[in-house]
Formats: sequence, structure tokens, C-alpha cells
Amino acid sequence: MKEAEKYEKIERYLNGQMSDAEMERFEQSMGKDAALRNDVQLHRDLAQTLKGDQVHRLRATLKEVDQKWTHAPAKKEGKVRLLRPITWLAIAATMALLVVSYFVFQPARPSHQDLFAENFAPYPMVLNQRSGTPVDSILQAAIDAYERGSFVEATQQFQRLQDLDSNNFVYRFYQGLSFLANQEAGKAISILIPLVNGKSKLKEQSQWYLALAYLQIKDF
Amino acid sequence: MIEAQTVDDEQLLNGLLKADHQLIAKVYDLALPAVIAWIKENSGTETDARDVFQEALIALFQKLEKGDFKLTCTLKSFLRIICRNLWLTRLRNKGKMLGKPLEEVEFVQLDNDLQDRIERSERERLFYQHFDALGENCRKILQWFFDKIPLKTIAQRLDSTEGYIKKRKFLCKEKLVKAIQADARFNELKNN
Repeated sequence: MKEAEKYEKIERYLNGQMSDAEMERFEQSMGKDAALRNDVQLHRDLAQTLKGDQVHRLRATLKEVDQKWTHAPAKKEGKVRLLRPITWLAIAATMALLVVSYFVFQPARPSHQDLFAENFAPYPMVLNQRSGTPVDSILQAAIDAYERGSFVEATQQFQRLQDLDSNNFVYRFYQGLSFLANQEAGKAISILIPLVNGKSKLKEQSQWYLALAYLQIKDF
Repeated sequence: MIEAQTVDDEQLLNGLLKADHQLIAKVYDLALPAVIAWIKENSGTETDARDVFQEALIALFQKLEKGDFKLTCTLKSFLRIICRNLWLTRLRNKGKMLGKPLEEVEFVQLDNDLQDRIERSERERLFYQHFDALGENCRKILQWFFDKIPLKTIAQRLDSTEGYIKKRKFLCKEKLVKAIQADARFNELKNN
């Protein structure tokens, strides 16, 4: 079959323009000829992919946006980033100094809430979903709630995760932070104290947030 | 109808559907940095990440085009998941391994439709690359042909005759098909 003739037959077949008898003969040919079958599949896929003005317009826009887009260095994801203990100690020392300064200098007398607000920021999310586990959808809901600042929902989702995996100290850590972000320092403290007293990888981070929790309830 | 968790995300999704330059730039600002960071940590480059991000937006656009769509997480998270699945699919197709067991890496299940698009995305990327390499008239003729515009109408649009357009259509398509079939990636994808 000449190439042009073959193309025309394939197109008529894919467009449903063959008579029943012609279609049956063509399908018999496809059954015997793998190369013809592959050609038909490729023509079908090309038509499916390349049709439609909208997607081409989108592709042109994406190309333009991409060429102009620049970014600041991104934060790393996917790892538990541990600052060296000395960094956390330095931060805690700075905070202690702030508190002392408040008492010694008293320039503008920031409130406990002011100090808390100046120093609190939710710890970056380092949890990742794992494939094939039932906990995936709950974990995704917890991550999303935490990242968008819905801390009440985040505490609930992290509790559900702990109900499924009570040994996971990372779930407890983020639940504690979610309570703290939601101004529930008492609940945060009860979660963070065991983490501070334990040997988890988030011990130093827990110390920092525990200090902030005490600041929130003015217990120092 | 498009629904999302926030008004901002709904606006961005509608912007994607309309190919709105400004809103798509906001989607880039929102989600691309995290995708770049993750892909660079998983055997890729920034160029790979930008490619994957565009594929993700196209896949999402095709999903939005089909009709009602409800986003049940943030748009940033959703794009991150699509990009990760796309990247892992690409690595698998290349027979590449990551530096760590696959079980430790995200591969969150998306709905079947979107997952099918991700599986097809590598082939589609190949098709687009070779389609873009054709001349402008070839691209117009083929796109209108695939949109089932009659050859007579295509001829009128290009101020030509139907017989000439029929011949050009065959030549353009043959060039495209042969370029794809000669591409080593096409044969790799066929065997996966």
C-alpha cells in the first residue's frame, strides 16, 4: 500500500467513514499486520493530542510565562531539616535576652503576646505521604490544613494520625505546634514537654516552641 | 463548574482554563519553587522541573475542560502531587532509579482520569515537540484537520485549493509521523 493511500485509509477508519465491509477487511489487515496496528494507534493518539485550539493557546501562554519567570531560591522539602543544636540554643538565648531586656530597659513594654507574635512561626512542613498506606488521605488533609493555617482542623487530623500510629513523634510535634498556633498553649505544653524530655530528632525544635508556649500563657 | 478550597485557588484555576497570562504567572509563583526543589533533590534539574510543571498544568487544564471539577486540597498541594507523579513516571520510563527506595517517595494516587493523563504525558510531550518543529502552515493544516475542519474550509482559510491542501496535509502528517517514529524515546515509551 502506498503511504498516501495508507494514511487515507487510516483516517477514514478512525473517522468512521468506512462501510461495514471495508471496516471488517481493514480490521482483518490490522489483525495480521502489527506495523499497521501501531500506525493506526499513532494516528489516533496524534489526533487526540493535537486537536483543540484551546490547548495550543495554553501551551503558547505557558511558554511565554515560563520564559519570563524567575524565582528566589526555594525552600527544601521532603527532609527533616535539623538545625544544629547551637543554632537553637542561640535562638533561645536571643529570646531570653529579649525577655531580660524587657524587664531591664522597658522601652516600649511589649506584651507577652507581642513577644510571642514576633517570635512564633509555624515550623516548615516536612512530612511526606507514603505510597500505598491507608494513612495517605488523612496525612494529606493534615498537611494541607497546617499549610493553609487551618490549625483547628490540623490538630484533629494529626490526632487521627496518632490514633493510627501512636509512636510517630512527628505527628505529635505538629499537633503541638497547631495547638500553639491556635493559642492553646496549655495543650501544646502537654505535648511538647515529653518531646523535650525524650530523645527525638525534634528535641531542640520542641524546646524552642515550648518556650514560646510558656510565653503565650505568661508562665515564666 | 470549578470549586476549590479558597476563592484564590478558584480564580487561579479559572485563569488556567482561560490561559490568562497574569494568573498563570501567579500559579508559577505559588507552586513552581517547591516543585523545582523536590525534583532537584530527586535526580532532576530545574529545566526538568519546569517541563514537568508545564505538563502538569496541561493535564490539569484538560481535566478542567471536561466539566465540573472540585479541588479538595490546596492548588499548591495538588500541583505538587501531579508533578511528583509525572516525574516518577518519567524516571520509571527511563529505567532510572532514585537515590533512595521508591517506598520513601511520594506517589499519591490521583483519580483515574488524571492518572491516565500522567501516564500518557510523556508520549504527548514527544508529540508536541515534533509538532512544534513543523512549519507554521503545516501546524495550522494539521490542527484544523484534527479538529475535523473540512479540507475545503482549510483551503479557504489559507487562500488555496482543496487538492493542494489535501496533498500538503499528507506531507505534513508524514513528516510528523516519521519524525516521531525515528525518535528513540518513542520506541522506549512503546515498550513500557
